[in-house]
Amino acid sequence: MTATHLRRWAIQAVLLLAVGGMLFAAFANARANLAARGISTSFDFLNQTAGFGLNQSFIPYSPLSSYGRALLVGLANTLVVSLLAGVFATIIGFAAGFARLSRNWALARLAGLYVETVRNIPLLLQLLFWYVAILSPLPGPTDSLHFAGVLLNNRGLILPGLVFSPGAAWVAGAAEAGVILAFFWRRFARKKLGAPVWPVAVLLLAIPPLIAFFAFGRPIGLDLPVFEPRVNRFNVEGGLRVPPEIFALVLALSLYTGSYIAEIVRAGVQSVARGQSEAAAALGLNDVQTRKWVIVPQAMRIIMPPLISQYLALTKNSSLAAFVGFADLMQVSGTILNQTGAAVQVIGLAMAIYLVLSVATLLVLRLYERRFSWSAAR
Amino acid sequence: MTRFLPALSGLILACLLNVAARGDTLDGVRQRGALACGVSTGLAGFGLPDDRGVWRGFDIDYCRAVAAAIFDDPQKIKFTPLSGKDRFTALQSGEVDLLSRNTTWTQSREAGQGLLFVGINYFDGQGFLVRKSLGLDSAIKLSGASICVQQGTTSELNLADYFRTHGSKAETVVFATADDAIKAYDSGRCDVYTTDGSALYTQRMKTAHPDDHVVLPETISKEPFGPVVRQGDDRWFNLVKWIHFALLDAEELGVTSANVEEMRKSDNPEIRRLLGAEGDFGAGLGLTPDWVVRVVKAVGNYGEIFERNLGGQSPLKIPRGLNAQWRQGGLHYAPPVR
Repeated sequence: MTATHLRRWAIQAVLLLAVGGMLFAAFANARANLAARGISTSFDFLNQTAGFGLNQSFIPYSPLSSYGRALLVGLANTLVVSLLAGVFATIIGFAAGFARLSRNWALARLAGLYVETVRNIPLLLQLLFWYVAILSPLPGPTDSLHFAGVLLNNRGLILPGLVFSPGAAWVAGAAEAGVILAFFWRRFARKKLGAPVWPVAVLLLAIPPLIAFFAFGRPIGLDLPVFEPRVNRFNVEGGLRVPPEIFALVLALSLYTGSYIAEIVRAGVQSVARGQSEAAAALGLNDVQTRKWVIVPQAMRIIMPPLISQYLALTKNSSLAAFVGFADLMQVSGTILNQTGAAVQVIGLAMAIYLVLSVATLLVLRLYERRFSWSAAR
Repeated sequence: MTRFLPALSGLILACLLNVAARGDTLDGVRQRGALACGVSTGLAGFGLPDDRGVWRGFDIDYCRAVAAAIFDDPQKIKFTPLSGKDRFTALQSGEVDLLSRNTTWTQSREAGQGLLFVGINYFDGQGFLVRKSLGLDSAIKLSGASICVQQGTTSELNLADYFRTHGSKAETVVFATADDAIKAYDSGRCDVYTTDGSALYTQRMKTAHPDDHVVLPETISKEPFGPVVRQGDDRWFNLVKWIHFALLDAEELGVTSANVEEMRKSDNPEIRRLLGAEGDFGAGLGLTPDWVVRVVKAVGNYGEIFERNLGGQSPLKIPRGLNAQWRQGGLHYAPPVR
């Protein structure tokens, strides 16, 4: 081993020891101080009864559920909001990015205006703005707007819910059978017949459930929302309610992240050499074909890494939900923190969950990147 | 790499040596030269900066009483506004020495978080604020309503309990701050706003048309407020506790900020003991014998504090009610001066 190697190993060992030592000392220090002040550091509080209600949950929850369950509800809400906002942000971002590069002067300027305005205003302000902007024009429950069984008021968008009777399982089974049949038909049609797949596939998917539905006496019913003052004079009863907070959050998050994605897309597209589009034109491809088959695949290599960062940022930005009264992970953690006083555990748990979410998103998108050979690593 | 080594080793040493000693709070306060008091972010009547930035309120006066007892100067305070979420962490970590912030006394907050409540200085209860146009006269008819509430408060828990007891349900919309909650209520997002009774009156003033709203007669919970200190420092706990009792005793014995100097020459043995003219009331607290004189001169007795901030002399005009002395039918009963 030369002196250089020895020095390198020695420095790395010292660095690792130093960092490890600091982390351990911090951890031990915190634990000692918490114990000295009589503050517990266990996670037992997760099994205690929560005692508070949550106004939005995708999984069954009541004030009698545990704190752990409340955290799960918060997590589910964060996931749903992040996914929805991510999808819309991508659509808006790509559209605005291409619009900014368009030869239509007005379109390009308008897209530019959108991007520059939205990028430079803090997200919290935008969120509060959209919350007020969505709530103000909506009427109260007594004057709800209704359209085809759907009600809209300032408590939310209330859709007809589904009511399942015992026969519903048969309908589900029939739908499954239809999917399997369609799958086999697709293979059969492609390999043996060379015939178009979709017309028959649609029939296979639709007919079995319909037959089961009518055969078993219409087991799936509609729970139409209705405002009946004698039953509930404050709110609409029945149906599936989507609170306005979700709309405000998804709208604000997708517009904000969309503006950043627009810039990333613009950078990616502009990084592709001019010669590519000229060559494509020379080959007779029109604008749309050029963009779809030549420009975008090459641009995606530049676009993917910053795009992944934007998705990670989006998930974390969703934690602003507490300011609009939406029960996301951060808001539920805050309530639990206050009720139990287990500050270190709750914050640590919330941090760990956000970390896992981010890493999971990162891994999935990396796989996507690799599949299309967009990653720089070849 | 070598040029980072001195800085790195310095950093490591600093971290290893940074074991925070619990220490004696009174000594720490004297050393710092100011009392670190945790207060509300802005609740009229209890803790709110006025138009010149001077903090005023019921809880603020308690901080000033403690500062007057220690330093003879009620202005030697470092105020830290704390929200509902970080108030206990600030106290536990030592950022503040005393939390005077209309905090409800519960067992989970005391034993579970290493804190101690020194007593009850305000007896309150949770109530509901609704629009007059709804024509409601009782909280029992609130089934199915949407209710705005602040995050992490006992109000949130009491709501769930109340509706469970009555077999009804309501939608709880939870906001990070009380201001967001009252704004959402005013905009029509909720039918009801709920918080402690005292705050209901002050929050009502923040709506666009305060006269359109009415407080329902029901009080659905007990909300005893009191100052909070950390566990593990008995002397500090006793000090704050006996300042609270001294304020009550002073009102009971008729000692006010106006007459405290003459009262020192009074013939009443209890008053003489209270004001340090004889006996040793306050021994072991680490204060000089005339500590009550300093306190009453600075902020007055309990009745004066109440009237100035919450009662007749304030815009809130809250009646004494349960907060009167025991001889006047209230619940305040301080131990005798002995």
